[in-house]
Amino acid sequence: MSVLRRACAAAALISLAIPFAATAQDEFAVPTYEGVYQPQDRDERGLWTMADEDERLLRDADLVIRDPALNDYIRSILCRTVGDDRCGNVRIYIVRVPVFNASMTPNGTMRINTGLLLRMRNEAELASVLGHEFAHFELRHTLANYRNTRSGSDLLAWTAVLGAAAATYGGAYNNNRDLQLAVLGGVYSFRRNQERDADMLGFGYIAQAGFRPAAAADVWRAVMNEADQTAIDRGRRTSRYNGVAFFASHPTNLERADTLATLANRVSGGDYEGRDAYSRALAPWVAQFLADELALNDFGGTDYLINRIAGDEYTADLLFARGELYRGRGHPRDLVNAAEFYRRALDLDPDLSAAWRGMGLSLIRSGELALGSDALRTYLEKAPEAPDAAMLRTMVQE
Amino acid sequence: MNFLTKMLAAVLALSVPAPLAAQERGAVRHDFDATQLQGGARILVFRPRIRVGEQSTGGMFEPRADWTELARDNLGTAIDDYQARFGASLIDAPEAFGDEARLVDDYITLFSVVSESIVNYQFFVGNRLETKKANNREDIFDWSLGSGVGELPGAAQADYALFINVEDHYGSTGRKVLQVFAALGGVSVTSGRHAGFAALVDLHTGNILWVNADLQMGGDVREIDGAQRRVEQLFEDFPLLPNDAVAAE
Amino acid sequence: MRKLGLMLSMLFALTPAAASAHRLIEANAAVTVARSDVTVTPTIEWNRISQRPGNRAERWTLDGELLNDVLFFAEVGDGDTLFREVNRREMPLPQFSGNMLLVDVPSFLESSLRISKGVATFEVTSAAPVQFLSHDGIRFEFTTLGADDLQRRGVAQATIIDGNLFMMLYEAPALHFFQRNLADFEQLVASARID
Repeated sequence: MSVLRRACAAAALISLAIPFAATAQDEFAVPTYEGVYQPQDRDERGLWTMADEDERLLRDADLVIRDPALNDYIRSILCRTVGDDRCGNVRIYIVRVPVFNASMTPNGTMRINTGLLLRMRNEAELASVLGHEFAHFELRHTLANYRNTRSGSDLLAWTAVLGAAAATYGGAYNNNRDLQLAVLGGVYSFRRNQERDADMLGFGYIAQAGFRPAAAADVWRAVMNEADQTAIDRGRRTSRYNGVAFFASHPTNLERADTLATLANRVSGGDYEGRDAYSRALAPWVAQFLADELALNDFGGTDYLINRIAGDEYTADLLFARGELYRGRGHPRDLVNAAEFYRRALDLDPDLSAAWRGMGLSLIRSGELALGSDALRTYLEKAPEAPDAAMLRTMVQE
Repeated sequence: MNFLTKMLAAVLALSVPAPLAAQERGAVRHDFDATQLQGGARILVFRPRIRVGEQSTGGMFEPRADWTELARDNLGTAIDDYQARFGASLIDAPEAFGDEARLVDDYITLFSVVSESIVNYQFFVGNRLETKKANNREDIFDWSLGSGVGELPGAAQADYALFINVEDHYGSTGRKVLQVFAALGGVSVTSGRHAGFAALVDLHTGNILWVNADLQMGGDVREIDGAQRRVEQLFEDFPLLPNDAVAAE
Repeated sequence: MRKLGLMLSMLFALTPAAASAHRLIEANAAVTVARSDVTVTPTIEWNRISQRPGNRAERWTLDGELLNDVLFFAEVGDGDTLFREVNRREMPLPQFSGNMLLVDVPSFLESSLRISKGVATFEVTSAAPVQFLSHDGIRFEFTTLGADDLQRRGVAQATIIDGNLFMMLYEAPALHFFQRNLADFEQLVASARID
């Protein structure tokens, strides 16, 4: 039994979801914090004990990023968002998983995926997500959600048996994958009223801390857009306006995004975004997070993601990642584009030697052997100790 | 659905057993001579991983704190009973922090993967690897965690290490109904997982000298009697049982 | 009823199916791998896992694939994946392309391993030219962190012949297991021939 699977099971108990509507400004008020809480009934104590055990494993897991600077920075955003007394009850674990998610277990363990950090453009966006997650924690939604989850997976098992039986008796076997996703959608979702309450409180934190509230809606739209781009690139229908798919945990996506935006307009908040500070803090990590993302073989989603983070200001890391993405797909036109992305990356940062490697390989695959060799030679001069230097030397024409 | 549930409940009353797979549970390393080790052997015990919960119809694990606490208490008491019989030879591994804690964690993870492999590819007859079949015929049991175990915290003060890993999922009523229905279809949906792994490891070589590993153990760890039975099963044929204790039984 | 059983066992993680047996690979006899013209001649006994990991793949082990995983890939052509798809809709595997360069093979493998085995991290530690199956090839070493939070090390040798990928790979836990059988894998690689 793996740490990861256990950790995932725990993470499934709370998952990222943003939404819903409000009526009166007062509802955004942040209540006095109750302080340290202990679990009450059988189910709740069960969850806590397991969360404690899981945290022991997580604490020693190799997947956790322990860099003090990054951890201190992320904690500072959470503390600024929910206040020091609340944030004192949370242990943050940054987990190297290239998937957009954060979760919080009932005992105060907050897991934040690197895939989430990568997708945030500024502190306000991160604050909106962390605040929403913390609100579920403060409101103790896990418990109810967990009881909900139990019936969800029961449904799946029964339908599987009945579906299989139907097939045996000559009936058509239903599309089990969709069904499975639908039920998983149930697992991953909080109930509507929980989402609304978490949003009220979440916006309350944000307003108190002076962040720009509309950031919450920005994040949500981006998640939907990315899912759409993934689907479109893979030649299937998007799940935005209909039916059941991975993002079914948020059934009426479009409506929710709009509701969030409306809500953001109503809450009194500040206009602080903290884009520069966020970029500075994440700069040492973006290249690695992007590399993890690139291995997921999701051209459409990753291309959207890179563009969104960039906005109108591409950094060398982002251009380089885009080059890697296009070179990885490797259509003739992609190779031409890739070479150009690498070239622009080098304009911004001449020390980004890996861009010479990418450019050289793109050019060689495009048939431009001489130019490609030159680029590789430059790379080898700059990075003679690169892991694959010996391999690349054989490709350089003398 | 309602009618179906009733029908299934009726079927449940007939209690059709799910087919069980033939499987072995324990082994002792072929070249291990336990008699040399009676008396002064020092055995390091790592904090057992224990998880107890319920398995819902869908197979989802539902943690139960009260059960886990009971199991930890009961198993702890049962292990203490054994410890009393061993005298001072069982030593609790020191609590580790930072890099040392991660090294312990790495070895416990490796132990868990090795145990699963032993069960799947040597003990489970229908799935046994051909080379392990040959081993079985010649009474060879050869599995190791490697000599690196000597670097574990506390290893310098001991000769052996004892790894214990217990995970119990008790079937809910819904799961049992599903099990019966599936059994009618000739397949096995297991109700509950009662995995227990215990192994004695040589801290110089890393060799697994003795192991008891089973994905379907007996003994309800939530009950004092059951926990004792589980520990008896976990330590069945434990080679370091002092002679006088064996005689006393 | 067989069909029901089959589907159920796919839907539930059941106890290991007592299905078809794994085959013994005898020592000192040439054997073809991955339904291709590639042969290897091991000097120790191996087990071939009965379930093929992919259409153009074959898996050998000594103690189980989590402890020592030897994979053979042969004649992987344009549009082929290394492994069987786990979830084509949500997580499709990358497809091989005949115009890939040898130096691209490690990242192709990385993406395939991450998606099919749930490998969490993958890092190439070295890559160098080598002769493999009498062709110019690449030999690379890597480290992974598995979905079971276990650190593993791996080594692979690959070549591309007429636009088809041929590769042999060995992956095992960094603690103890990798070193223990590395030489046995090297021996397999050295014995590989193609007709």
